[in-house]
Amino acid sequence: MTALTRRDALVAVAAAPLAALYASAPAAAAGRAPTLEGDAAVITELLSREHLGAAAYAHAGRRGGSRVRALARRFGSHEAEHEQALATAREALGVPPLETPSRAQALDALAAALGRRPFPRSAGDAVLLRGLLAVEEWLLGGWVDAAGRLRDPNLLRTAAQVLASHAQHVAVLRTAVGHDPLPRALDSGSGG
Amino acid sequence: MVDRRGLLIAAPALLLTACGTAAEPSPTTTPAPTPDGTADAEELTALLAFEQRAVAFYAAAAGRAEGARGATLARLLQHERAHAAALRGALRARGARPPEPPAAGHEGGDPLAGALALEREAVAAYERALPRLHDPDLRVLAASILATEAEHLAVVRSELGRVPAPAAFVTGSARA
Repeated sequence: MTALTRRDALVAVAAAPLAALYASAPAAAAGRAPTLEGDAAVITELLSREHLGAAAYAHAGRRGGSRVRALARRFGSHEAEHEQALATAREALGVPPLETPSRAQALDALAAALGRRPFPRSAGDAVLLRGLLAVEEWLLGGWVDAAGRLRDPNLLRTAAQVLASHAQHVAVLRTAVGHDPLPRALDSGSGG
Repeated sequence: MVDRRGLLIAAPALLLTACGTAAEPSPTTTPAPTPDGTADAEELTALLAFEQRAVAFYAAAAGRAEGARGATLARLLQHERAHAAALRGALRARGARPPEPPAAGHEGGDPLAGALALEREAVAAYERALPRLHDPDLRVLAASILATEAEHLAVVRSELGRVPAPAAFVTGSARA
């Protein structure tokens, strides 16, 4: 099986909607990559999101002050665990590996997905935290949406555990930026 | 975590799941129960019974706390009431009768310590229920409630001076 190239992955991620990720990617159109369906398509979308989340924390970890760096290190390690779980699940389904985008490319893709740059140049800690909050709400939205589309019970259980982790990140980041951490009884994130 | 064996074992469940989408019933008809619908109703009933217990707990606990803690507990009560209402509506839409709410509330002790135990139980209950629900719309509802319960857990942990988000996979166990 042919591994997807980094550019293919980035084009696919940046070309929202993510629901059509590989079906719309140039590699898939050219027959070089499989058109994914069902759970394989859903976890591929989720892994793409997690790659971008990890890149966001890597960026904040380099640019932020000590408080932001500590938070980015902790939550970034959670993203790495989510990525590993999804990569393992994809491998089990026989899907070719998805290459990890560079940080710069991932930030471009995040800007496309969110409709704005989450981390403008010369951003201070407050801006970095607001950017991370936007990214986490987008990640949460993806996982809540996936709960309705995944079918494998084991993947659904993993989805429950990961979306709960993202919800906790959201609550912490809302507090960090001075927002109400519990604004709604049913939280579906954003951009699902 | 997902392993290869678990994925393979789960494959037959895909066929069952594909049949599980329930249409919104008209006001004048009661949908005939289906095997998947009955299983979903049982899961919803168990979740609603839990939420009703949570409402009883927070109704009593919120009255015993003051200041910021009292405000937090009142917010949690408001959310649990909303969860119970959503689950009650989903059950009625499936022609099932919601369980009676319990009479007993909080029986003493530190309200926040009680909240911590309750929110862990909530996360564990939804984490267990999510893979068992057949209707995709119900799974999205359960996921959005689970997200809120996990946020509650983080806030309560923080108010108790603990790390609010300690784990990458949140299961409701003592560590996560």
